[in-house]
Amino acid sequence: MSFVGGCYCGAVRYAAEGAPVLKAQCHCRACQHITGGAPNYFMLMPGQGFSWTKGEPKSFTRPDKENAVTRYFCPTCGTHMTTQRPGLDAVILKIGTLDDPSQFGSPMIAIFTEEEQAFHITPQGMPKFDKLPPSR
Amino acid sequence: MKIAGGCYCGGVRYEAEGEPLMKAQCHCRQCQYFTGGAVNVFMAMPEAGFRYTKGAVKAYHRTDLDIPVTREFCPECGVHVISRRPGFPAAILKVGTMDDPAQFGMPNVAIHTLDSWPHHHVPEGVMAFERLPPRR
Repeated sequence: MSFVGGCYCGAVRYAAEGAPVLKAQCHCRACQHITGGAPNYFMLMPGQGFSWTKGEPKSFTRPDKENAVTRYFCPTCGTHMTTQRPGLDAVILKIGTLDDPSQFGSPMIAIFTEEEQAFHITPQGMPKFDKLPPSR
Repeated sequence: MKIAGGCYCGGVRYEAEGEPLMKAQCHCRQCQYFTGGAVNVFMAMPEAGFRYTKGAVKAYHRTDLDIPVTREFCPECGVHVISRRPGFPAAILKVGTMDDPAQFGMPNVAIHTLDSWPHHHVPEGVMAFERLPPRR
């Protein structure tokens, strides 16, 4: 599968090739800051299939946390596009930045629901995890 | 009502006082860029009661639109804090940036649902409008 997308102002663009490893919605408090309050809808894409094709994102990593994730956003319009987690090869792609978000389909699971807000909705039947799903 | 909040890294802080003018979730395609794909959960607070108490935001507005909104975000962590709409004397606050998002309660309306995706949900009992509610 082939995905293209970018930020709102068009200054930063990316391409992602491969099959999504995971499609999910995250309810954690940190994600809520970035999304404006709603759950964060994301797709894990294989790292080797991902590349920036235009412009350069700015990155932010919390200096006060061990193994902090790094978040990439457009310095001009502030749109967050991806996150990278140390030790994880995959790129965590925000599906609102896809040229065609319908390629996302639907999330498979909801994670960090112990931090959810009253206005968050998880579809009936979707597996929910207080934190992360147990490792296999 | 008194609200305090800020971006994820703490570089930008704000206070908002007054009664909310509107509590809503917006499904439009523009908002989806900034939310990562989710609905944009916001509370419009009287502009007169809003002020930044720490740091300086970066502002972005489109140059190709007649009456563009201005979006204000932290230049360090990229978190969008508010939008301003010409002719609407409000700071349109992103609920995820409030220190206590529970102060928001629930949205009163869902707007621009024409642009919805299958992973967007409107809470039960919340009025939904394909575009904006009709003017009174």
